[in-house]
This record gives sequence, structure tokens and C-alpha cells, in this order.
Amino acid sequence: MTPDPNDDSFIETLAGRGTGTSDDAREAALLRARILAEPAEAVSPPAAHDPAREDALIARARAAGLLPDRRRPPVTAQSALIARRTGLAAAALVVLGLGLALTWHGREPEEAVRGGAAGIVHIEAADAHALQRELLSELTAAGVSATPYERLGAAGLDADLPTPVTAAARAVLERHRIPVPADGVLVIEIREPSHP
Amino acid sequence: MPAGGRLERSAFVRACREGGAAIESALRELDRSFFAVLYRDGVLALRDPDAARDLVQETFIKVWRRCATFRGDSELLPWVRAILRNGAVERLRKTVREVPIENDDGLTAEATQRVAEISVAAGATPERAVDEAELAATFHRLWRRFQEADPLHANVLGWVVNDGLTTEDIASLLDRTPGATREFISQCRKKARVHLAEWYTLAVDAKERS
Repeated sequence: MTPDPNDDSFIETLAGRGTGTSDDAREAALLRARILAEPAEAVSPPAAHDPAREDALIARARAAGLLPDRRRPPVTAQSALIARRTGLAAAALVVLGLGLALTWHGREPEEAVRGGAAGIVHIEAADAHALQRELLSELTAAGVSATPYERLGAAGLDADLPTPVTAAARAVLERHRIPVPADGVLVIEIREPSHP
Repeated sequence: MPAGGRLERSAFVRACREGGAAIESALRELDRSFFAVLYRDGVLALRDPDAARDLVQETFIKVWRRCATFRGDSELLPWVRAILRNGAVERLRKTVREVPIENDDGLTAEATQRVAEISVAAGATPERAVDEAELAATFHRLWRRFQEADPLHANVLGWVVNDGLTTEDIASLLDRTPGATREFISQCRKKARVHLAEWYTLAVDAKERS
């Protein structure tokens, strides 16, 4: 079906912006006036504050992985220490992995660590959206305008770095072991590790 | 958040950055601030209170997943509402059978026949006096029928009127290319003509008489 070019005039007038006198504008004006005059439909209002509903929402957020699972054992000083050590070990592994990826990059074109114009930095993190927010916040603080996005289950960030790359922006990237893109176009995609 | 007020965008942005425990608190505030208004939008769009309730909760989860994309200088409710509508569109697409409408006049033979039937059934002739009350009642009846038969297209037209959506807004809402969006708008218009044919006839008659 070929769209009617006059639909633009129709939509503009329907939205209350057009003042045309064409048939399309008149049709839209008639329709707009009548839709606006429609009596408000009665919908039984829900309670503004409903603890059960809120609890259901929290449970859903937990199931979606937005909130930590309450079934996990409470954090004790010892478990916190273990977690910290585990975290440090995991961080060391990530650094090692990125180092290896950087080394491999010279031998084999891979997407994991970008260097070329079309590359994407892929990062794996336990909470992809938390890392996305963190990177966004840090890059913004460093004066870089980054755009977050979602694609195929990955939390992404897209940014054009200043040329030359400022020390602040470079520090953020280095802190996260993200190589500075040669073309200044930074594209990062963060995924959560898939569990077996 | 102020007592009895709405979740402030600064508090939302802060919670989004902090994450962790702040998310639970902010989710509860989101529910208290916006559930009622979004539930109403959901019921009107989906015509199903249970589905609307589910849609609103799903929206709150999406809001949190996408919180980093919220521009702190804009209002929170319109942004949340756009996510809700996007979810409503997804659901309506699953339930609504998209019927192609196409011929030289932009209508299928079936649709053309339907317009003729409606017009004849209404007995809309130039001699017929039409008053405002009759026009309003006719439109109300046909518009409701349009909403039930083609909720996706009727909702989008309603949102354009009530919130001034642009073609770009509609493209974003539908997640379609500009070309596909124009085609969708064209379909909306043609479907409206089909469903509201009786009212169009009466309205034009009334306008000519005035």
C-alpha cells in the first residue's frame, strides 16, 4: 500500500498543529474535535497505595533479576570478605581476559575488544544495567556525551569521544579496561553471563 | 519524594545511578506515583483490567531496565507513559489481526461494501436533519466500536489527538521505519473512515447545512 502524501497534513491537524484548509485537514479537524469531545470513559480507579500490589511488583523485579534474591543467605562480615576476595579474583580474571583479548586482537579479528572502526567492546558483567549506568555516569562526569541503548538483550552505550581523547575520558576507559578506540567512536555492549 | 506527591525525577535519576537497595524503594514510589494513571491508560488501550494491571507492572520493570536512558531534564510521566504505550502496542499486535486495506480508494472490496452498508443503514440523506446530539451519539457509538475492532489503530489516533504525537513519535512508539510508519498512519486513517463512515456522512451533511 502506498501511503498518501496528504497523510502528513492529516496527522498534523489531528495533533492540533495544522491550520490547513485542505480536505485532509478538514477531515482531521472534524475528527479531532469529536475525539476531544468524547466523554471520559469511566475506569474504576485502583488504590493509590496498595502494599500487596507493591509487593507483587518487587517480587517481579526480583524474578527479573533487578533486585537481589532474598533467598540468598544474609551477608556476614566473613561472607562479605569472601565475596570481596571473589570479586577481586573475578576482576583479576577480567583484566587477564581483556589483556589476552588485546593480544589476540593483533592476530585474529575479533569483536571482543575493538580497535577498528566497526568494532564493539563486549563486556560481561553480573549486572549489565548497573555497569551501563556506572559507565554512563562516569563518562558524563568526564564530559563525554554517551547514549545508552538496548539491543538483543545487551545493555549498550554509544559515545563519540572528544578528539584528542581527554585525560578524564581516558581514565574512565582505562579504569574499566576498555581500549581507547582509534576513531573516537566508542560502542560498548554489556551482557550478563549465561548460566549453564 | 514529597508526602503524597509524585516521584521526583531527580530522585529517580539518583536511584537509577545508585542501584541496589535504592531500586526497591524507587519501584515502590513509582507504583504509588503512577500506577493509577497508567492503569487507566492501560485499561483504555487494552480493554482488559487484568491485562492492564500486568502491563503497568511490566512497564515499571522496563522503566527500571531503561532508567539510564531517561533524560533528567524531561518529565518522568510522559517518558514512563511512552514505555507503557509501547508495551500496549506489542500486546495489541499479538492479538489483532492486521487486515490489509488496499484498492484505488485505499479500501478493500470488503471495506468498501461495509461503508456502503453503514451509510445505507443510517439512512443518511441530504434531507435528514442532523443535530449535534445525534452527531455526538453516533460518533461515540462508532468510535467505541472502532476501539474494540481495531484497538491498535484507534489508540494511536487517540494518542495523536490527546498528546500531539508527531510522525516521529509514532515511529518510535511502533518501532517502525519512517516508511512503515507512514503506511501505518495511512491505514489508521482508512480504518477510521471505514468505522466512522456513518458519522462522516452525517458530519459532512451537517456542515453543508450550516
